[in-house]
Amino acid sequence: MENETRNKNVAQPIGKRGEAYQPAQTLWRRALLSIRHDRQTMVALSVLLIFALIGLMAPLISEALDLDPIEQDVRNNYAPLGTEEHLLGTDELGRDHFARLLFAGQISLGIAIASAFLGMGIGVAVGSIAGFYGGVVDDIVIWFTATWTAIPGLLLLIIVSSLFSLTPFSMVFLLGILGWAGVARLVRAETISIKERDFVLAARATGASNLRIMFLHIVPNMFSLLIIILSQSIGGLILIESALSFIGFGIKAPTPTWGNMLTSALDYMRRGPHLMMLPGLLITVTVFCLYVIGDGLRDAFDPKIAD
Amino acid sequence: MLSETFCSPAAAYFIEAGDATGMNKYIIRRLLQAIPTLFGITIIVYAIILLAPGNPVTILAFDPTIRQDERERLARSLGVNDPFYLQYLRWLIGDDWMRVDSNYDGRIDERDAWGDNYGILRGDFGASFKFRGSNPLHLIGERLGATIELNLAVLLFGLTNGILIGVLAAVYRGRAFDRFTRVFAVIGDSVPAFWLGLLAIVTFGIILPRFLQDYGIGQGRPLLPMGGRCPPIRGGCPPIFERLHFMLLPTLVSSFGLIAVWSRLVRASMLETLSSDFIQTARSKGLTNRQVWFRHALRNAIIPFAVFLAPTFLGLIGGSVIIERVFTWPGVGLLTFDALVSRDHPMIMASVLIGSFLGLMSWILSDILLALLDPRVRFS
Repeated sequence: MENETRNKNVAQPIGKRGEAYQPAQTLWRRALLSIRHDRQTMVALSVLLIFALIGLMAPLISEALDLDPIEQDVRNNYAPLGTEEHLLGTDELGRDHFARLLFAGQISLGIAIASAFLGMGIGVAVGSIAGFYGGVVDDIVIWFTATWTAIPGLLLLIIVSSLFSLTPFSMVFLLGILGWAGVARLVRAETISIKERDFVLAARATGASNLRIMFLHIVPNMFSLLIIILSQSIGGLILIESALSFIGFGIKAPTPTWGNMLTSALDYMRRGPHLMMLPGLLITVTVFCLYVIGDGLRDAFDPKIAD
Repeated sequence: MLSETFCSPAAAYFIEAGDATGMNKYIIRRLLQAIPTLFGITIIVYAIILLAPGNPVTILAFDPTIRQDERERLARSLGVNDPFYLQYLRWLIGDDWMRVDSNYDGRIDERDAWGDNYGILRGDFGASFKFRGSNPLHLIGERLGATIELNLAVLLFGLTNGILIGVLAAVYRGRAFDRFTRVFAVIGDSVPAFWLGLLAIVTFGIILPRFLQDYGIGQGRPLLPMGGRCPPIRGGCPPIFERLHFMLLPTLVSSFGLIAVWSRLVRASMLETLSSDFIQTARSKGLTNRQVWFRHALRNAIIPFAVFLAPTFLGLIGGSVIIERVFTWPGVGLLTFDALVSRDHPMIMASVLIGSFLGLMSWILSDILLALLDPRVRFS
């Protein structure tokens, strides 16, 4: 009854008057509902959100605890766990391990998320243009993506990151530039299949321009695909960034990332084996959560694939 | 009849019938397609090296006592001030067909000698900066054995275990084994291999030995070698057991991710195959479970994975730089790493181009393999 009074002035969507208001079963609503009932995905999502929040608040937290991720205190290095002032001990240069982990999370997550979005943006633009127009543009894009995927990506990244000295911003740029080819391939294939559908024809009949059809009609129809790609590529990018920073070519100290906190692990493993546990564990947990969310999203958006 | 053991009955028929032209055409087409791709790779790689800060002159003439005019002479002889396309062409096809400014007078005329660089197309990558004058290809050749040895072990161990786990997980779907291995597969995807390597080294090198020593076992020495490859004995190969001893940790660590990926892929494909009609037929013939799973289902389920061989291989090429760094394994990956640290341009170019060439070949091979196994591909 309450629904009825609220919707008095609105056209009733389904059913007769007096019936409970039923929201239309759109793809998104169904997907959200299915995710809300998926306990694994919800847990992973909340863990990830907590990490992201802590990462965002890293400056506040470290200020409140009076810790600094870069300040060195060499006489006080390799402090064990549970030391006063340094809850998680200090590293080989006497920097506070906890503060470094906080800021590293901020940087690692930030780089991965930003570069995933950048790569996705470029990939969607290139892929949909190639798929939509076909012809020579398509041939060039296909040749380029084929060339690009033939180069071992990690090797190329290692080389580029070692030759240029990278800041977090240029790292985002690099990972985005090198990561769009796979997205472009998928988007191109999807565009080709979608552009033959009737609603595209209808949009064209109403006089929509090519750009409008591409980005307001075709691309929104592959949002579910894009979201799944996004969550998985963020996970992959965290791993790649950490590997690059670990071998000393990515983000360099003193800026902490989870990867470069392990760079000198082989040197200090006798004195401070505890220092190599947490950075790696945090990478693993974060990426694990992202992959679980990716699986959950796929199940939610595409019930056919779920088993 | 021989081909039947390697490919699907349809492809076998195709070949047995003497009509191999379709397949040959396909292979030739794929190889021809690879040529522009290869040129694209060379352009991309050369552009990256050229755009990087620090040209060869600053690296070769690092010594501050070298005079400015000598630096300029070096720059001219290396041609670093020429336009991009000229430098690229010289690098690609060499300069032995043109005169270079060999007397450094700033002009190219009759008195100048011909160039002495043959270009990468004829296998001349120039002289390594770090190992003065050595041919990068020879250096790579010396280290290639170690890399192949390790990666072959990784592939063998990773793929057999991945496929086995995938098959069993599909067969025992929903049971404890399946649920355990599915979680394991996601974890395997998420663990950074280098961290796993560090953990393995610390565990077997420090923590376990110390623990055992506390209980009076052993002298606290590492249980397994913490890095490196076994030294050659009198120039020859040491016994296989020695080699395995050194290979154990790197192999286990870098095949972890491989097992995760392949077990998941094989599981999904097996589930689909197990529900098809011909499996029912096989069962009704009274075949044992093992025959049905491995001989009938797996053979069909595995066909799509010809495609995944190339990415797997590509991942190994890039990953070997990191794994070899963690375990100081003296292979091409470590050589590349050292070259990168010392900015040895010819060496870097050689290893990235060879890596990309191998990557491209693995794509082509996996496409051909797929076409052999699945005739539908050829006709599309």
